[in-house]
Amino acid sequence: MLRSISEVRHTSLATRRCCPVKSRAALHEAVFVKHDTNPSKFFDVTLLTPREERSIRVASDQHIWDAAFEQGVELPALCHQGWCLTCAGRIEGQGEVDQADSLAFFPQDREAGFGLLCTGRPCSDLTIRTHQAVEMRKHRLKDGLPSPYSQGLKP
Amino acid sequence: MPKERVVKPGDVTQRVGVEVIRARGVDVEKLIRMLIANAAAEFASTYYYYTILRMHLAGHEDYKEICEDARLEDRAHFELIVPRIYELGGDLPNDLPAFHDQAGCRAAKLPDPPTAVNILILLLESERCAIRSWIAICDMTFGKDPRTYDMAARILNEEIEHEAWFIELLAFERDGKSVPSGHFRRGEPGHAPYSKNASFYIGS
Repeated sequence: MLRSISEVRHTSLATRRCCPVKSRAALHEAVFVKHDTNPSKFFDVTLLTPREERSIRVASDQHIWDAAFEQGVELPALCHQGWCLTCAGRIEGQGEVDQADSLAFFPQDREAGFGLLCTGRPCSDLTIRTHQAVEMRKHRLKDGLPSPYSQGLKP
Repeated sequence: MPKERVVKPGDVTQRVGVEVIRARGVDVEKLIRMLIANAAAEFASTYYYYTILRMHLAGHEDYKEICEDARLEDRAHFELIVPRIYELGGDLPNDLPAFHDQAGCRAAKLPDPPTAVNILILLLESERCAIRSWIAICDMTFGKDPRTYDMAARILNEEIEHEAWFIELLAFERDGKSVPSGHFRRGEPGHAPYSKNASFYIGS
């Protein structure tokens, strides 16, 4: 049977935000309405890429991928919608990422420490290991969750 | 000249059509996976769900027609991709949910509420994801695998046109603005001039 992604979304959205979403209207807003959060808060994000370690500043209303791009760090991405896993990263140590803008992000993803950087906003200072698409796909397959492979990711 | 593995006469376990592109640097297994993901996106994430979306565009008959064109052209893309997957030695998953879950783009599920604006946003973002997915195939095959590149470029042409259509419609419907797509009209629904190698100009 096809899983209903929207059902999963409705159950998982509330658990993946820094501030829980409660109403259906708020869920709709999370998908279709631009957020107008306070942009004055900034966080230090350390990116551990295969090539180097880079530190960037990311506003609380900014996607980590966008901030990295603006600051000269080119990270992988394809759909830019928080679906395809190409931009996956793994949070090292403590830290929280708001994935409300991602089309599919599951509580199991959060528990396993993964984040989708193209649509993830920092809620704290973070250290993120980038280029984790293959690992995130493995984790999704293990848990029987949707496992897109738009970049031909093994396995 | 790139060196390719020699396929022995009468050997049906290997394909020269695959070995020549492998010799030119294409990761064929990766390409197959990407094509399956894109086929899933065309069929399971868009064609199927666009069917539902167009049903909910009542009162916007022009939008419905354009959604129908995009829907049928996405099906044409699926039909175009599948033979190439098998030619390369791949196959489709014999399990629809598994196929669906590999799609590189999200399912274009009916938004809540299903207003014309919300549907047009969904259509627009679906097309954008398709563009990104197909340009990735173009990048991977350019100068190495002319057959897949040609197919991907044809599909990309249509996805880019679809994006332009939905930008035009959304700008008008939501913002009251005129942002022309630059296109005139398709012929029969599902005309797909690039992916079906049909005439670009109707009535000429």
